[in-house]
Parts: sequence; structure tokens; C-alpha cells
Amino acid sequence: MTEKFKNITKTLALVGGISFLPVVMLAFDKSAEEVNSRASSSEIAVTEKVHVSPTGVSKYDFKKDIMPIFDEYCHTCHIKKDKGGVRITDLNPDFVNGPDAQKWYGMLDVLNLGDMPPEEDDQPTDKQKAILIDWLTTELKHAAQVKKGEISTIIRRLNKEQYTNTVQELLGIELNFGKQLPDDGLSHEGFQNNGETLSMSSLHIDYYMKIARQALDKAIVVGDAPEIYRFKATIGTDVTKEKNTPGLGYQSIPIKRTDYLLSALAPEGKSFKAKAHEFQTVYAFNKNKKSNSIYDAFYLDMRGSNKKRFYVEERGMVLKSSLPHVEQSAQVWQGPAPNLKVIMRDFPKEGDFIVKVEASRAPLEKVGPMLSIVKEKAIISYDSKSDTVNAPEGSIVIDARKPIKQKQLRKNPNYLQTGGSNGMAQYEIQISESGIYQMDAVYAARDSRGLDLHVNGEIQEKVFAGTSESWDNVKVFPEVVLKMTKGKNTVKLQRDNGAFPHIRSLVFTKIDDKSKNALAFLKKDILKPFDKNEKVKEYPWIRAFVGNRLDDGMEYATFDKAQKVTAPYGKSQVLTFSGRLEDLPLPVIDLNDKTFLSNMALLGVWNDAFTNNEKSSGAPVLIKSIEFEGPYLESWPPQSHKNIFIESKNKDNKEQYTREVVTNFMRKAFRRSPKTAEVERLVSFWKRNHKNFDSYEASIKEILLPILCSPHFLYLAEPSKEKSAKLDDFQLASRLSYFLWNTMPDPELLQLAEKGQLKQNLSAQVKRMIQNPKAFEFSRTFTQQWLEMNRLESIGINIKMYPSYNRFVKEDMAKETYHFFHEVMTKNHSILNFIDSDFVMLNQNLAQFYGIKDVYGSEFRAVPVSRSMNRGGLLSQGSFLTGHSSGEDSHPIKRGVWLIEKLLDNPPPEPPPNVPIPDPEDPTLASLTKKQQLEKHRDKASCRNCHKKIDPWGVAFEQYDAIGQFRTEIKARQGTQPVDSKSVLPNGTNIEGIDGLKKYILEKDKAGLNRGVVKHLLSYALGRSLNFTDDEGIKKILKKVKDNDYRMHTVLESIVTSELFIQR
Amino acid sequence: MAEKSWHLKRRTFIKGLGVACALPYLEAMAKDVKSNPNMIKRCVFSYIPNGVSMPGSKNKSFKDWQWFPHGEGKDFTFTKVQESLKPFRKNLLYVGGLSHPKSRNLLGHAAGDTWLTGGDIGGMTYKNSVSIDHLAARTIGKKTRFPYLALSCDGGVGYKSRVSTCSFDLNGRAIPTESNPREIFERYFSGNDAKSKAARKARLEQGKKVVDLIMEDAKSLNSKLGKNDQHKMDEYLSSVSDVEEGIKRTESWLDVPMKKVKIDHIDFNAKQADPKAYTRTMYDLIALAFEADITRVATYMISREDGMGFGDKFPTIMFGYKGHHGISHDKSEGGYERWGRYDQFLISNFAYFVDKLSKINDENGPILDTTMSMFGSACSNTHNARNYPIVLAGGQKLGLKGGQFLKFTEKTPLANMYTTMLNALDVPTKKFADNTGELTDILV
Repeated sequence: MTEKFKNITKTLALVGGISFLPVVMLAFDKSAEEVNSRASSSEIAVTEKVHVSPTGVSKYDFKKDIMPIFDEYCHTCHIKKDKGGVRITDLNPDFVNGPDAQKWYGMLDVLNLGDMPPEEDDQPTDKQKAILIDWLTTELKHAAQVKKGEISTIIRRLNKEQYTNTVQELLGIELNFGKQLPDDGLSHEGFQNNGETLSMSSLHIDYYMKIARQALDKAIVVGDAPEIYRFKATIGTDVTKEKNTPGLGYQSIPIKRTDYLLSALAPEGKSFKAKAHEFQTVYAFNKNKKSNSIYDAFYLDMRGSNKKRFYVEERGMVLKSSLPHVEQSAQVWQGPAPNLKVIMRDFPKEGDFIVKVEASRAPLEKVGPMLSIVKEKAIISYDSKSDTVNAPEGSIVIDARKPIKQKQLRKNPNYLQTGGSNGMAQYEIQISESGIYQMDAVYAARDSRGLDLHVNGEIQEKVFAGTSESWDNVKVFPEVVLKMTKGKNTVKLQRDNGAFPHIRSLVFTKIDDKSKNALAFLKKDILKPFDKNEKVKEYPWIRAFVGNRLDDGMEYATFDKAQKVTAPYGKSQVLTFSGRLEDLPLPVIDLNDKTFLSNMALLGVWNDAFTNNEKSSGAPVLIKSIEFEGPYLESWPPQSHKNIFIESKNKDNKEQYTREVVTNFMRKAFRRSPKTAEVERLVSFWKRNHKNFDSYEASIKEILLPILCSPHFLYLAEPSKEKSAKLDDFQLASRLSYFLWNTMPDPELLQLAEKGQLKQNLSAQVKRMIQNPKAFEFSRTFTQQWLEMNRLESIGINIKMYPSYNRFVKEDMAKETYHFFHEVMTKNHSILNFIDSDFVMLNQNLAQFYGIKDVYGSEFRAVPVSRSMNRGGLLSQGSFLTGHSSGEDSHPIKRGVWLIEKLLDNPPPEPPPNVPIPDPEDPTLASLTKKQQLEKHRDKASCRNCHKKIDPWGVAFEQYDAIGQFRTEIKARQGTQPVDSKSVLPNGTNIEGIDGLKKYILEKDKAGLNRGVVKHLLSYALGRSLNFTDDEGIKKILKKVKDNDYRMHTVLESIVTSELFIQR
Repeated sequence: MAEKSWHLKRRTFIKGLGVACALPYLEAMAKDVKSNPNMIKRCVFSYIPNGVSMPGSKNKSFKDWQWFPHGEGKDFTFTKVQESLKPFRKNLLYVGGLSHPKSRNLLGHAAGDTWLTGGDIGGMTYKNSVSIDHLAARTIGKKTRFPYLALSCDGGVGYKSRVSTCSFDLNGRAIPTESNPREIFERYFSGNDAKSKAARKARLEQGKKVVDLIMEDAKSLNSKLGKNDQHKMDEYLSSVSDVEEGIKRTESWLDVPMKKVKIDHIDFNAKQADPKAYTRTMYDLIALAFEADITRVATYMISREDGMGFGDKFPTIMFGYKGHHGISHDKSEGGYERWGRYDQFLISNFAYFVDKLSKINDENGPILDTTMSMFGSACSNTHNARNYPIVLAGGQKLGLKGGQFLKFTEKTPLANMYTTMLNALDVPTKKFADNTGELTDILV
């Protein structure tokens, strides 16, 4: 067996150039089964060289009329050899009983298109060609009629996403139940819902049983509600006096402990008995510490954040717009910076949770608690003769010559004197009453760049800027107005590379809140910097995440959507984010590991209004507080429990109640009315076994478990032994629901099915369903698979060449495509928009990347575009262009194949095995342009036939680089070259660039686009590959779509109402 | 103009016509592997953190304190680091130059997480993948009472990027390790006391009942399906019966008595404070597990990366040096020699284990010949996740070369070698992590 397998592989590998276009695709599929099925057909071929005459219906006889024509024109390649995997003598000409009708169908295609024989070879006469086509057409039509229904959709296992969506909907728990399941295979068309490719294994069953048990454990509860973890972190300068040693660690950036207040809160407003969790404050690493507090269970950290992009002020912490990370390969990272994290050592491990963030907009620049004043008079005076400072009572007079700390200063009897270029003097002052103070100074020489005045460790204001004067001209001057708080304050004067001014005294005097200086100060504090911010349209957004600490970064995942912050500075709003803990990367708890860096979960936020400009503040946000509550319970028992244990008058009659519970659950799980025998089997099992369980609930779990592992649940089954060829209404409801929602039918669909009214209401249901939010799941799943978005996911872009490309751009590129399809669908636009559109779906990040201005915020919306922006349709979207690049430059071949295969229904054959790929290191290629390289590649006989049908399409995309940015010149190794996007299409049409390509398709190949869209949607809707028996049905749909201006609703409605869809 | 065809896969079409054909592909492949159904094959992996002493050739410690031997191929000479392995020269295969491409740019310590997986843990999400020992355990572990032993000096899993385990399941989740010799012995060797046996039996019974219910349900659907759907249903039914088989297999072990083995020589009270006694006891337990055939796969993380866990203090306890992590950063005079001396100690414990295996026999002779013992780290020098130090001891009857030092370049991912190792263990594997094929050079 093994030897044989090897030989077959070898034979396949030896098959050389490709010539027989579509048929080749069949033979070169890579799966092992494919190889095997080929093996058996070769076996047949050996024993029966030429097939017997079929019992055909055509007036032509295969042996007498047809075979001689093949012998004359195809002999060398397809009889003597099996070029491209096709040997005509291997094909069974009995279309009905033989297995090769689909291959003959492919042959009809290449004949019709004139693809075969190759143009350089002898061509059959028109009459011969007509005979072949007539024979093929007649036989195929006959075969299609006989076989109709035989090639029907087979039972389809729910794929990973469908399974997850279904369990979520069934139980009412938003949790990624299927994430542990193995990935599903792709069908030939790239779809993951194809019955043939969805296999089953014992590993699957193992997981289904395990997941079902976990899921039921979560849905069904016993006893009291779990303890609720609730705490709040409030941020602001000196909000607390409490001081604790921060838990540091490699790269930690702690926040001053007096700048945030942590408090444990009791649950509020619950309709059930809710117990508060008591946070653990004693840990192995701090067991010798005396004052353990909640600060040991939590603390705040800014690890990974650039210190210039955040600061704490009175009202909270200001986070400037985050800088998205510049990608580096294979390195852990710290997330967009800045980000604010609550490090949690004591946290719940499962359940829903909510995070409330109190926030507002913040000034563009930091508002210091000071105001430089120059016009007002000093409060004090100075007598130089007696060296006396005259200040009002209560003023705090500091002798500047006596700092408590100093650096690079010399002693001078009169003043501080420069002793180096980085002088520093520090003082301590005791303030007895908080309020607004004026600082006057006695000094002489100033300096053009001044000094930095730090109060309590922060850079606050430039002071003493001015022209240099001598000590003879000593004077008093009002330097700043500032807010000071009661207690000890540290005042520091710092010079950065220059001479130190000659300072004698600093005097702090409290001023009246209504005084001119105080009012000016207050006005500045609130309004001035904010004026600037009011003018821009940009608002900050908050994105929340949960993660765990890695030694050189963090692992994290965001949850919920980013939310816009609109509250003005000075006011605030509360934003609520919700998530499910099990779905987020919490640390793996290891109780053996008692180091202070282990077992820590991170809960964080960042400012999602990204900016790429390090100098810009973007749209700063102020975070006043972060509150956590988890598990978050709205009721007890939770809704998921009540969904299973339904209200009933029979609650006390356990057997009858069990019957009701099972019936209700099974009806949803099986997506149809359960049969009595199915219910009774479980009820009788329950009767026999329920005493073995601790509670009634546990005994019910045990009989719901097999429902979740039953093939009736796991498969979309449309048993073919049932009488009618048509699906029954329940089966139709499922087919429809998994098509447009990728999940189980909702109550409305099931009710219609139950009443037998679904078939007559299909159009109305389609309209309803695509407007439901669940339809986005369809847009996402279908688009992702249809347009090969996995390529974008896996492409490695050379970041050195394209520093502006990062994971956020990549993510948004994919979202653009999902949203674009969704917009076309929900707004009932024409499918011609897939080629070109006058709008694009953008958010701020992607708009910035594309160079489109004035788009603000994280959410995607339709943005009108003009031609000069070079965007519109699917063809100029980053997702496709980037996914189909080489990572360093455009890749015309990949782009060309994508276009003709996915959109124009003109698929090229698959490349032969061992295809020679041009070596990028080849010095003879280095000097050529991409287009020239392609031409050279095409020069090889083995490549030419296919590539002349591919490359010209791809060349039209040359105006876009590897990351889909528009370009007019190409940066190549040998210098820049102008973009050459002129191309001659296979049919001889000259086009240039993206505009030329779009124009050509919209004028000349709408039919191709129609086919491309309809056939992919149909194949996805049916969960199977299409074949020649579907031809007639497809044509009917295409006509309806064409007759209705190519509207998307027509496409979906005519698919759903077609015979293909409503029959098995 | 005719529509372009919408191509069906050939197989789909054939099936559509009811001409089902499926060659048992995997079986055919499996037969290709040299196999002796009576031979018990085993594997063991032991990991040391922080890399090893690899002074440059100009350093005066190069001659004696280089981890790798000098020379290449059959002509190599042991350095002092390796000298305790000398008696087993013909059983040793040193492998140089290999590493996991996806970990090369990680800070060396984090590469420890991927030593046996080749997983991709850089980037926003930590995506580790299944480890070679776990894959082996999934197949060869079916034949024994326990699929594997996962041991470490610190127990548990540690935390991502600084794990205290080398083993990861199919989803790339860390598999917890055990560290207390007495508890390990009691859990794995003490047989089944009546109480826990009854509890386990009850759990398995429950599992069987659920499977029965599923089966009944499936059969009712099966009877209604047409022939096109039948093969899909067969797939489902056989998967369910595989699961049932698994439950029965587990159950059957409950009644099989433990093989008697001698345990007087084992110091179950050994603690991490005595590195030599502790490490050797852990190795004793592995050898014992192999002797009693309670498992055929064992993984032992001798100590944890970075300055963490008990293992970091071993050099201090043994030699009065800095911690292991400190040693690995010590570029001062004599630094490499100190590092090399500590490596020498680690190797001597491994040699102790190899010696054990050479003295335990099963029906195929000394089990050293039927056990692949890999020893190494995920760093060569300080924080450099390339050119992993690797020595494979034993496994000559599984086809492994012996008495050689093979060197490779970075073009060969380490996963290629793992793939070959798995195949040699009768775990048919084509794809493992980021392999680009096999590394059959390690085979005779």
C-alpha cells in the first residue's frame, strides 16, 4: 500500500505544465483523499484503456464521432500523456453511470472559451467543434436531469463558530465555548461550512462532552449566589494619605501611592442576597509586613507607558492619545502606550463582569496648578540695604540661599550662584491652609530660558525667564500664582544646561479667591487649554482590556467596544464595559508560585483615539475612576438557569416537570419539535438515575448533556429518506438561520416553521434577518472566507520597509471589508459596489493610514470618497491588497488570481506541484521591474498558458504597494521606478491601473461579477460545492439579479427562494 | 456563452454517485515506519534554564568548560562539562546549531516556554502549541496506566513566559507539573485504594452512561439518512465508540495490579535544598516509572528560567556561587569556568539517570536502547535563544545514531528533529510546529 502511495505521488509530481484549464483543478487538490481517489481511478484506467460506448442520448456516437476528433487534436498531451492530470481515455463517457461528468463539464468550458487546444496548435474545424459541443451539452443536460437530487447537500457538522454561537444562544451565556475545538478545514472555495470537509473525530467528541459539561455547570446553578468582587480605584493628586510600598518588577512604572485611592465596595441594588468578597491582603511575599491593606490585593501601574504621555492631576489621570506600537517581529510588547492598569492579585476567575470608568475629556496640554504672572505687582518688598524682605503676616518667606538640597551651586553671601550648568536647589515649605498662593521672588539675574519650578516632584512652570542683570539691580517680582495644599510641600528649582539666576528669596502668600490673579488662575485652569480642544472634532475613546503580566510585556485581549468620551473637562461621565472572564487571558493560577510577580491579572484602559504623531497629544482623556464588579449578576438564579428550569404549574411533579424541561431544551437544541420517543428516552433515564445525584439540578444536567452531544444538535441534518424532496419547514429554518446569522433559528423562525408558514414567508424573513444585528456575523464570516481574509491574517509585512503598518491597521483593514459588505447588504446597494463605490467604510485609524482626513473615532461609518482618493469597492481595500502582497512589495500574481477567482468567476487552474518560483535573490531579476520579471517568468513554456490569463489582471493593481497604500513610484532595491500599471487583458483590451480595471469590469464584465458573487453565496448557503447539475438553478438566480439592478437583497432573496435552497 | 464550471472536488463527485472510496491513508503511512510491535518505546525530556557555558574559542575556558564537545561527527572529544557521560559515548548524540525560529528573537528566558513546542509566543496573544512529549503521550501513553509524568523542581505551571513546566496540551495550555517526590510516588505507584477506586469507577460509569445515550440517539438518526449522509454518520459513530473505548481502557487499569519494583534505594525525603539528592530522586522516579511501565513518557524541568524558583539557588548551595541566573550573566574572570562547573554538575545527574536506564532491562534488553532521553536548554549563551545545547542519550534501537556530534545551521528548525523523533517513537507525524520536514540525519 505504501509503495503504491509513493508511486502515485511521484506520478503526480511528474505531471508537467498545465494546459487543460479547469479540469486540472480537480486533479491537483492536495488532500490525501484526493490522491487516493485518483489512485483508484488510475487503477480503473489501467484495466480499461478505452471505455465502452455509453448509453448516451446524443445523436453522436462516442466511439465513432467523438473519439476521432480527440485523437486528431488532443493526442499528444491528453491521450499519450495525461498532461495537467487529464487523459481523455481515462474519462468515462457514460455521464450518468460513470464518475466523470464534472470533468466533461470542464472540457465543455475550455472548448467554449477556445482555451483548448492551445492557440499555437492545430485547431478543430468549426464543424468538429460544433459536434463536440453538441455532444457534451446534450449528454450533460441529460445527466443533470437524471442526477438532480442525487448530489444533494449532505449533513453538515456545525463548525467551530456555528457551534459556539449556537451554544451561546441556546444557554444565554456569552462565552467562547468552542475555542478549544480543532480548527475546521476549508472547502475548495475556501468555506468552512462544507459538509464534506467538516470531519468528526474522537477528539471532537471528547471536547463536545467536556464543553457541554462545563457549559451546563455554568448555566445551571445550585445554592446561593457567589461572592461578588467589587472595588474602585479613584485617581487624583493626593487623594489619600495612605502610603504603601508599590509592588514593582521589571519595567514597572508605578503611580504614586498617594495619588490613588482603592476601596472595596459592597454589591449594590441586587434583588437577591449578595455577599461581598473580602479581599485577600496577606500574601506570602509580604507576610512580614505589619499593615496589610487592600493595596496588596491591587495597585495601579503604567508599565510600558511613555512618561510624557500621562500625568496625574487633581481630577484624575490624563492619558494622551495612545501611540500604536511599531511592530517588531516575535517580541512581546506592552500594548498601546500609555495604558493604565489595575494589577489584581485577588480576582474572580469566571463569570460576566463589568467595569465602570468615570472619565471626561482633558486639555490638550497639561494644566499646571500655576500661572505665570507678569503684569501684577508683587505683594512683598525688599530692602537691599538691610537685606530685609517685607511680607504680609502669614506669608511664608524662604531664604533661597539655604536650600535643604542643592547641586552645582556655589555659596554667595547674597544669592544662589551658578556652580555648574545643571544647578538645582530644593526647599521645603509648610503650608497651613490650602488655597491659591502667589509666589514672589527677590532676585537679580534672570536667564532667557529660565528655571523649572517643581512643586512636589512635578515639572510645573518655567520661572525666572528674562534678561540677565547684575545684583546691583536686585528687584522683587511676582513669579507665579499656584494652588498649594496644606502640609509639607517640596519646591525645587532646576536648571537645565545654563546659568542659575541670582535668587535671594521666595515668598508664598495666600491670596483672595476673588482677586484678579486668583480669578485669572482659575480661568486658565479650566478654560484656556480647553478652548483649543473644543475646536477640534476629535474626541477621546476608551478601550478596555484584561491580561496577564509577562516578564517583558503583557498578554492581553480587549473586551467590549471602544467608547467615546464626550463629557467636557470638569464634568464627567460613566462608561460601562462588560466582558466574560473565561474568554480573557487571565493568568494561569499557580499556588506553588509565591513570588510577587505571579498570579497577577491586569485590568486596563487606554485612549483609543490613536495618533501616529509622537508630538501630538491627540485627544486626551481624563480617567477619574475605575470600578470593577464580577461576577456581575443581574438576578439569582441567572437567566441561563431560568431558561432551562422554566416556569410551570407542574414544578412539584418532578417527573412531569422533567419532561417539560427536556422538551423545552430539546426543541431549541434540535431546532425542531422533539419526538416523544426522544424525550421519553431521557425521562426514563432520569427516573432510573436521578437518585444518584446530590440535587435535582444535577440530575437534569446529566440528561441535558447527551442532547448537546447528539448528532441532532451537532449536525445540520436533512435526512434524505423522508418523503418530499423539499426541506421541511424546520430544516429550512435552520438552513436559513445558519446562512444569514451563522447560528440557530430564533423563536420567530421556529414558530413559523411549527405553523408551516415559513416557505411562504421567505422573502419577508430574509429582509427581517439581514437587518438584525446577528446578520453582521454573516457578513463577517462569509466575507472572511470568500475573500481569503486569512491571507491578511498570516501575511508577514516587512516592518522596516513599512513602519506605519501595525496590528491595529491590520485589524481595521479586515473590519473595513466586513463593514463594507454589511453596508452593501443592509442598505440594499448593488453588488457593482464590490468593484467600485462612492463610499468607503472607515474609522479614524484606517482613515489616517489611507491619508483620508477628518474621520474621527473608532467606529466604522460610510465616508464619501472621490476618485482622486483612489479608494472604493473591494479592489482598493487594504485587506485584499496587503493579504495579496509578498510582504515587501505588491504581488500581481496573487492579486490577479484573487480577482478572477473570487470576483469574476474565471478561476485559473491551480499551480502544478513543484512550480518554479522566481528566486528573489536571483541577480538577473534584480535589475528588472516587477512587470518585466513577470514577463520573464511567463516566458517559460510551462508557465505561459496560465499566467497570460492571470498576470495582466494583477498588473493593474501595481499602483498599490505591499500594504495597500497608493503610490506613483516603486521603491525597489535598485532605486525608485515609476509605477507601470498598463496592461493588456487576455482578450486584448488595453487598460491602465485601478481606474482602468474598474471601468472595464463595470462596462464589460458585470456578468462575471454576478456569477462570482452569486455562486460563492450559493455555495456558502448550501454548505456544499456546486456542480453541473446546479447550472439551471444558478442561471435563474443570475437573471433575477440582473433584472433588479444587481441589488443585494435580490441576490439573497433569489438564492433563498430558489429550488436549490429549499430542496435537499 | 456557457457558464464557467464550478468545480467539484473529484472525491465529492465520486461520493455523490455513491462510489465511496477511502484508502486508509494513515495506516498506510504508519506501516512505513520501522516497527516492532513488541518493543516498548519511551522518551524523556529534561530541561535546564538560562543556557550553558559557551565561551568563545579565544577564551581560556573554551577548552575545558565549553558545554558542547570539541570536534564534529564521530571525532569529538568530551570537555570537562560532559566527562561523566564518557562511559556512554556510543549512546550519545550531541546536536548543535538547532533552535526554534519563532523564538529566536525572544528574550532568551521566554524561549523556555517553547522548548518542546516550537510555539509562537511573541506578539499580543500568547499562542503556545502542543509539546512533543504531550503528542507522544497521546499515542504511546494509551498503552500505560498514566499517559505521562510531568515533573519539575517548582511544581505547577509558573506563569507564561516563565513557566515551570515544559509540557503543553493540544491547545497550547501549560500542563501542571509535580515536584514532591513522596507525593509523586504515592500518586503514581501506590496502586488503588478501595475508596478512591470506587469513586473513580463511579465517575467512569457515569461517563459510559452518557455515551450510551448519545449512541442510541445517533442510531435513530442514522436509520433515516440516505447513503450520501451515511459516511458522515459513520464518522460520528466511530468517533463516539472511540471515546467509549477510552473510558473502558481507563476503567480496566483499575483492576490491574501494580508491577512490583524495588524502591529501597530511593530517597523520597529528598528536598530541593539538597540539589544533588533531589535531582537524582526525581530521575529515580522516572526510571522507576519506566521499569514498572506505568508510563513511557516523562518530562522534567530541572529548574526554572531566570532567577526564579528553587533551582536558581542550586549553584549557591553546591559551590557557593551566585544564583544560576547570576552565573549566566557573569562575564568576569573565571565566569565561564564557574558556569561550566555548574553545567558539569547538571550533566553528572543526567549521567546518573542514563546509567540507571542502562541497568534496567525489559524484553528488548537495557531500556536505555529503547528510550530517547533528551537533555538541554532553550538558550545557548546568555539570553541567546539559538544553537540550543542538546544531547540525546539512548534510543539506539529506535534508530537513533550514537557516538556522534552533529551540527546543523539555522535553516533547519528544531521542530524537524522533533518530527523525526516522534516518528521514531511510532507517533506518525508529518507536521509539528513550524517544521519544514524531518531531520533524518539523527537516524542511522
